[in-house]
Amino acid sequence: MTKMQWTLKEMKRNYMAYIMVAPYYLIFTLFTVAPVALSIFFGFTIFNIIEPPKFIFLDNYIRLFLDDDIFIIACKNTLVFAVITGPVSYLMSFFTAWFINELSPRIRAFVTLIFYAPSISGALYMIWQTLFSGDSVGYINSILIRLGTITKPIQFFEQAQYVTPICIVVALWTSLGTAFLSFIGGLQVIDKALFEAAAVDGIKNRWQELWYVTLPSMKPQLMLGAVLAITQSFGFGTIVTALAGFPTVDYAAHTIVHHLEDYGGQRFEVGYASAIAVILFAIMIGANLLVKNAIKKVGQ
Amino acid sequence: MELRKPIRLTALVTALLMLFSFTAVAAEDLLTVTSASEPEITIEERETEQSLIAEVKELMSDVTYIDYISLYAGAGKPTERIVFKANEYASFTGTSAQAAGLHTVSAEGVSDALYTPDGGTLTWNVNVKEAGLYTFDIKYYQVEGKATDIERIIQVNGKVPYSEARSLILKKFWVDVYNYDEDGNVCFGKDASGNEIRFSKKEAPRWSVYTPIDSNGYVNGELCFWLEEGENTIGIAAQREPVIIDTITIRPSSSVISYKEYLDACNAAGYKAPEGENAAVKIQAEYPTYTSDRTIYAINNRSSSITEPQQAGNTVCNCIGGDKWQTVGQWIEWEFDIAESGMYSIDYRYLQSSVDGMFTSRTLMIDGAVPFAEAYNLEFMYGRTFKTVHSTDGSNDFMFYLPAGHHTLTLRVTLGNLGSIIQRLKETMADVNSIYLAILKITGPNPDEYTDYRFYQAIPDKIQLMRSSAATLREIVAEFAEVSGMYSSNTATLDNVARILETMARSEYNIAKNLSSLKDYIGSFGTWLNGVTKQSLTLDYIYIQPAGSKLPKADDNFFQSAWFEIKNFVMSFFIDYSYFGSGDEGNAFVDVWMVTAAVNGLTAGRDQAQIVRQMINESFTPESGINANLKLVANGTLLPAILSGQGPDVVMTSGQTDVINYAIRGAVKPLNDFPGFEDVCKRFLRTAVDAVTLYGKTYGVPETMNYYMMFYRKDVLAEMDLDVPDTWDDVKTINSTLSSQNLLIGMPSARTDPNGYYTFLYQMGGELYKNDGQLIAFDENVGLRAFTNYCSYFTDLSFPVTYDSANRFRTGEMPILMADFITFYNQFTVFATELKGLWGFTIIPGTIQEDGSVNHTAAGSCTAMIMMRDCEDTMSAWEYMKWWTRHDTQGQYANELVALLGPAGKYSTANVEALYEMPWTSMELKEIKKVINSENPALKCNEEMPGGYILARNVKFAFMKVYNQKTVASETMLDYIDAINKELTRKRLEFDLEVSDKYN
Repeated sequence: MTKMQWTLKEMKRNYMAYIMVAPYYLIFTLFTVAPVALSIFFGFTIFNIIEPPKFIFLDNYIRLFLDDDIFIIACKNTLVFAVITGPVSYLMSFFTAWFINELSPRIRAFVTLIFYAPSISGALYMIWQTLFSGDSVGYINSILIRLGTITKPIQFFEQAQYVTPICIVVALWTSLGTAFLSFIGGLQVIDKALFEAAAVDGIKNRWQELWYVTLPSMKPQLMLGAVLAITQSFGFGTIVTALAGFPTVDYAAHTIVHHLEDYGGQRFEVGYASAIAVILFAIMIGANLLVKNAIKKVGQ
Repeated sequence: MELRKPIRLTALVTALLMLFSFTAVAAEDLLTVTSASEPEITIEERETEQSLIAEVKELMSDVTYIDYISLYAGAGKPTERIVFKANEYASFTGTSAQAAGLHTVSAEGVSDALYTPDGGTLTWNVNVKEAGLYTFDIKYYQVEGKATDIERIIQVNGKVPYSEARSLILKKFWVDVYNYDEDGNVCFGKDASGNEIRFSKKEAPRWSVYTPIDSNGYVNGELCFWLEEGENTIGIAAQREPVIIDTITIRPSSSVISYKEYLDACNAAGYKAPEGENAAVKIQAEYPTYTSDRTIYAINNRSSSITEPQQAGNTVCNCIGGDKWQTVGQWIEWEFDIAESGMYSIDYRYLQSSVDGMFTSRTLMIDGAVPFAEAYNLEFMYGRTFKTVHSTDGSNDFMFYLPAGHHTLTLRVTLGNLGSIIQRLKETMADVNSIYLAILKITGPNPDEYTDYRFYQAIPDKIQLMRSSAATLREIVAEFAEVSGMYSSNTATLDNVARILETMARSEYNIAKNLSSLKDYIGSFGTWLNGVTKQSLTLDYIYIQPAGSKLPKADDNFFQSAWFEIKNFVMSFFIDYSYFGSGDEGNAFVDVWMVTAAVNGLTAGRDQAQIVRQMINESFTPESGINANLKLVANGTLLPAILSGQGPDVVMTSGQTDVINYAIRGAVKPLNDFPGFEDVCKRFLRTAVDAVTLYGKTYGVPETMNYYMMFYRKDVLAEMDLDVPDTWDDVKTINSTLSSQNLLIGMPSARTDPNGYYTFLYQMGGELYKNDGQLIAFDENVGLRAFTNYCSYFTDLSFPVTYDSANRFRTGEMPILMADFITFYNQFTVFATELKGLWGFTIIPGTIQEDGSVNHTAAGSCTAMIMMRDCEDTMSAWEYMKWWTRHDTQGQYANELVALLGPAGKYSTANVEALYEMPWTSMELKEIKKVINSENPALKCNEEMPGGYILARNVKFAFMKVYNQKTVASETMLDYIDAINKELTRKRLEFDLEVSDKYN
């Protein structure tokens, strides 16, 4: 029996299981695999949605790396955002969850809600716009004018040096999301016996307990949190657009996602936008692998 | 004999003459109009700006009716009654066009009535024997045309006696065009999905009598005018709409008996409640006989399952009123028949859920007359669900004597007992606003708490005003509680304002600290005042039943309403909400898509689609024999639909950028070769057509246009003795005066909108592109000068870059504001009703040219209707496009929108004729004509070129850099030229267009 025959036989035997996963795989293929495949294909063409695509092979990628200054700016911005917001929000989520876990259940539920609220409440981050409004009656401007620090309002969202920091702060503020919840869940399900056993085995302090018991026991949650943090920090664009408009002044907070939107939505260059998407996809997969390896090392 | 003949003749003639003069003398007692000489017609083309300011000053010095009437409190009541014909007028003052419109006409039984145009002042001379307070009855006949009320000012002896006489509203008569089923019964028509469609409305001119009443509703009853003994002149100045007047009667004001007297009289006559089985009459309110406004129509209310009729799933027209019937003066009239004479109770099933904790008021008239004084203010108490009541004034329920026969019942919106309170509140509001402005002028918007501004020395009168305003507000709160019977959220707003005023008045050091809270409170005060003057009422039916009968059931029980909701939920799966159906007739089909996009701050939605559908059925299909499928789609569905070949034939209201974007990719058909194309183009400004034209091919038919106008606060400018600026030099001069008082001028900054810069560019003779769109022209000399000039307003003159225009314009902090015309007009009309008449708009300032003329050109844009490439029956699609942009169609659509949305529903049609015919005042129209006219329009729609999207963002970048880093404007702009040109070139290469060598 060759391997092929064996596979077929096994498939026949377990046909029920295949039927059961079929709906999921159908949807997954149709809405996830197919679009990815399509954008890889469109990445090699000129396509404006209305007219049929024209094949141009690697021209899009060549232009992207060699003849698109704004893409380089976007890459830089994305990395800055990702490197700061990714790890910080990840660690913040974890430590907040860890601290909250020490509280009594009722208070824990309440505090969880408080921390989780900014991320579920959709466009609540718009209050930051009121706070940093360029109007002379905007909160920050009004206070600064009253203090005599400035005489005319600062346009926070239209000045390169302010946009990125403000957006990072807002991103961190909203980042205690699903990852945070899953960490709390993960902390709850750790077997208490493990802690007792560790104590008997000679754990000296809470840090050792965290590193040798808590973290290894919740690797699946850590992994999920990491994946979410990566997608969030790379796909971080909505907040910038909502706060500072599109595009930001001198492309100061222009990320790869913005660049993609710019070409796909405004310039009708879906081929080029697909090429950008492919690159973003590749970067994300790379980051994912990196994080996976890092998490493997936890507890060693 | 021969000699005698002439003598006899002479005698006869003399006798006749004597007889004639005798009757004339006798008649003079009745008709004392001294129309001895020919009427004098004065023609004057006034200088508007100057007179506007003068007008406001006059307006602000007006007395109110209460003060006016108290001057004549002791005077006796005159008895004289004088009738005179309108066409015996003494003089007319107005423009030559208006004078030409004045003529004698015959209308419905009256042969010598006077047609008065929508402008100019008419006067009559009247001799009265005794001095005293008189009122007028004006017998008028509406002129068919616009859906606007007739508005007039009354002057006595050359002067407007009090502020209420400045805005007298004569309502027009409207009837529903009923639809009949096969059996000849009145019923509502149905659309393709089975939803009922309200009746369309048409004007129903008839002779009617108008007696001056306060159009704001503050004063109850007729308005009176003091006439001196002997010769008086009475003037009527037109504000809006022409009207035909037959006679004017001058008479003493009539008084109405009280309910007690009415009831006593009924009892004395021995009237009893009828006992017949079928004495009760139920009037379904959604079938009115006449209404005062086009906007009052049958509506659908789903909140109760026992509203008659009611249906799950589909909409049925089952009520009338709601927020369409809330402005003082609007009325509805119903007809009914009474079989048996007797005492009746008139009951209502209504919903009044808009004014929390309060009542809304109506005046009840039976057969055109108010039966007793209390019927002036019937009250409908607040409730979250439907209620049933007898006619009541809040404390007593009323009965009415109705003889057998045909009757009419009219309910007119009034402010009732709240009127005088609201008037005082409005005055207080104006006072508080003036306090705020006075402080602001000293401190600026961000006062320093620790600076001693010496308010007591600077504005002692305002400090006094703070105390008195606070006291007035406290008084009003108490009265309010008395009238409405409770303290509610209503009075909290007033309390807050009073408290902050008291705090400020207590110590001058509290003033600067609390200024920003005062501003917030003024905002909520204004909003609240707006709300409380709206007297919304939804009526299900009126039930006229024998006096003493029980009230019908008010609302459904829990099970009824639960069952109704379940049915509704189930039905929601079977109804296609996006499809607006197609008619049955016609053999050709056009697929039309309406995109739910925001136009002028209004989102085109179901209501608009329904109007379009109705217009297609009523006029397009019958005329052309072509049927149109109308679909309302979400923005962004168009491209995928074209890609998959499921696209429509015609898309309505696409932005000019989209039109060109689709066109260069071959998705849109050029229209130049269609028959009658040139004629269609003549309907619009050339520039609007050019905006959707690329290299000689036109891809769309313009629908709407957007452009800037300059709005100004008349009162603030008048107080400072400033004229409305005409040129940018004037703006600079005025700005120095304004900024010394901490007031600002608002101009669109390139942060959000590059049109400000483009405006300067066009006014200085520049263009956006050069070499046919190959390169940007910003680096030309004129482009750089315009940019430098534009930036200097923000950098040197400190114009704000970010601001909340509506709020700042309302408080008066920003008395001059350049904003998108229709959007701001619509927004502000409803946002600040308390400022009605105190603001205006005009053309934006211009740049003086070398030859001394002024160029006022504003940069703008348009939206257009396009024909998609997959359209097969192109001739039918073209017919549809021609029909939709025709002037009567656009005019009707604009009118329907105003009908649907009220005064805030102005539609910025690109059709010039239709724009003129919208319900503007003559002053407004004059300003609009300065911008929109076919000879010399002061508007240029931005040119669209491939890659044009790159302009706005780079202008923004350059502008923000100049503003933030104080760089030299022209050099900064030059830094961005390369980026723009590179992108233009790249885009052009994509479409195989000619490019400039430099960037290739």
